[in-house]
Amino acid sequence: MSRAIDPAVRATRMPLAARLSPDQRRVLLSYLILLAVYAGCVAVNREFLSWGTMRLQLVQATFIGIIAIGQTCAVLIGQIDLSVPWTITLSAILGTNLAALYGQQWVAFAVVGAIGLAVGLVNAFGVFALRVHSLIWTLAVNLLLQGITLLYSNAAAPTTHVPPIARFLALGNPAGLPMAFLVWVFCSALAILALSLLPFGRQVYAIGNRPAAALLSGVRLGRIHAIVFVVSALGAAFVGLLLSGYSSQAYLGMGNEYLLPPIAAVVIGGTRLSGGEGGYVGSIAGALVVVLLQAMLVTLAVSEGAREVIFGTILLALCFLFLRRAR
Amino acid sequence: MRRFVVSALATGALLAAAGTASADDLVAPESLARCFLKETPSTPIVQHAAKQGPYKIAFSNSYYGNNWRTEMLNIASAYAKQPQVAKYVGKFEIQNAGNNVAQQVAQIRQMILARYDAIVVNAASPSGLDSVIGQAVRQGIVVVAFDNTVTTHEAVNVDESQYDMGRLWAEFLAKETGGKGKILMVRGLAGTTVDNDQGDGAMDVFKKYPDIHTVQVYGNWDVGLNQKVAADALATNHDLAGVWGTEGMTGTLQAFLQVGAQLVPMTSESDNGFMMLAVQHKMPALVIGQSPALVAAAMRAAIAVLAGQAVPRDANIPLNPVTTDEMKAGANYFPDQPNSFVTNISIPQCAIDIPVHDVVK
Repeated sequence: MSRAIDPAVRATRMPLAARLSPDQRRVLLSYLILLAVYAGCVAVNREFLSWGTMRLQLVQATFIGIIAIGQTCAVLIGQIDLSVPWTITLSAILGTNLAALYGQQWVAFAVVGAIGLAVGLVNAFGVFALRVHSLIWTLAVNLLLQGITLLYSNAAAPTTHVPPIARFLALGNPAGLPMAFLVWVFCSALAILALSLLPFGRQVYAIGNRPAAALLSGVRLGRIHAIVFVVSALGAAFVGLLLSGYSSQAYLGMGNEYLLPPIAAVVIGGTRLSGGEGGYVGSIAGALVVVLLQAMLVTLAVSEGAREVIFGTILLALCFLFLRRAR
Repeated sequence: MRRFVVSALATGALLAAAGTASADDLVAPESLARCFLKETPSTPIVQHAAKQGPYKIAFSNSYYGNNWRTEMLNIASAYAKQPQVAKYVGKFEIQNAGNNVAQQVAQIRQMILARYDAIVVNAASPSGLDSVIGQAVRQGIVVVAFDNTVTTHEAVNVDESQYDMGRLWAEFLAKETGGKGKILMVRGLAGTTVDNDQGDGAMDVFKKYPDIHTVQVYGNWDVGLNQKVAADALATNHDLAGVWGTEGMTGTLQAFLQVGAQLVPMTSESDNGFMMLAVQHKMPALVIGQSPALVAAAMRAAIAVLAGQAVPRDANIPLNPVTTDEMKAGANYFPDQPNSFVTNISIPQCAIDIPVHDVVK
């Protein structure tokens, strides 16, 4: 959504980027950051120039990137989804178990779909119908899912078997390209198209900018909330399946590392946490930035404390870049 | 009941008690001595006047969202029902508090009110429970902490030596590599006592070998994160001679296989997936792990103290190292269980033997 800017103002400042809308400028900034971070990685270690290393990073970025789709949409309507970690774990454990039980791989996808739909609708119900802030409601749903996962894994013997399709999607390399990355490209294309071309996208931005105005102009708030949270839960559940393929196992707590990195990706991607501004194109750069930073720090010969300080400082600095530009 | 701590001078009382218990009994002194080793030579002994059984024992657990904790909870229930234990245990109850100190304090307070004879604790905080543990002990309740032990001297602490674990892993690698080369250390969660102890044990060995260099990364004891950091480390270190790793090493080994790196000697905690892959690829490995059956050892310590037996106030449970040639399917690793299964579910030195089907249900 571009904002109306006085042409005189536009002409006097930032002549180079003058023809870009504020949104486009934010995306440009995200990709400049990505470039800088990648240059930093290469400066620290030449191995980042090799395709072998980058292929691993693309797989990691896929996990964060797919979750960031739902997270971007949620942030755009002024919400957030904190139920991601245990959606991932429940989907992975239930999916692998039921697929093994029925001996059919598609069962795992059915589980992903069912969990995505159920968790998303519960989230939307609490946030939209009950008007509980998503920060609280989705965190509570996360706890609820943790309880369900523990109850289930206590009652049913876990399987030794991960569906081959999950391994292929996470680790496969058709034509030398990581399969996970291809999956991400496909999901990204869908997300970008939906946000920029479909009425759904316009309504998402409308809600984020002015919920009251959106309601008056006929946006069905409930439906958009439901779609956004279902997309987010579906993404998390699908990543659960991918992760079970990646580590060849589904285990309790496997989603715990995936709560904050996708949110960081959304923020570095230039989507404003107050909603209404930004988009998924930037989040793609954000996901790559987060993953490259983590990888670069692993290869630095410094203590873990120093690593975390550097990571935190860089994240803060990047967020500040966007905060400063916000008006 | 008066509580008194006596040193090695209490041997007389110990011998007198030995006459009443048979050798294979849960509270036989010689059997207890094999299981509960003093943490240091100066560790004091805890001994109370014997109390009439059967005992009411409560288990206050903190976190419960990972495989180790799930197995631990199942082992606790199963152990309490085993005949040699059941004859001492009239009632056994488990409560989970999450990683919430206040909630655990409230739970233990309830257990005091419910007049349990002993409370076994996996603590959410090393010192946060001090005051409520003090209250329990003043009521004559025996408190045994394990795994996440407590700082207060009023409780008995039962644990495995993380320092020794780190040291044994490092000694194995020093031997396997001939004392030279680059060792990748995939450590646990930075800043925790367990990680510090394991790391100290390793470094005390490695520093004796000037030709050994270490590269340290942190995998937070998580398989997925192990796989990620190991892959990153492999990208920039092509000349690794060995991997010193703890829990989650299945991920590190998978990262090696995924990028097609040459396998090197590795160490790990008792991850089923790691052991299966080590056997499959005939890779030299040493597995030692914090046992989820520690809970059973803690329960046994509680029963022993209630029965008037002597137990070290800070007790170490013996470690059970397993090398690749000693790995036996169905005995110390389990191909029909998931990769995430924690394999060391029994502690032979403590006569704690839990069948697999009791651990997975």
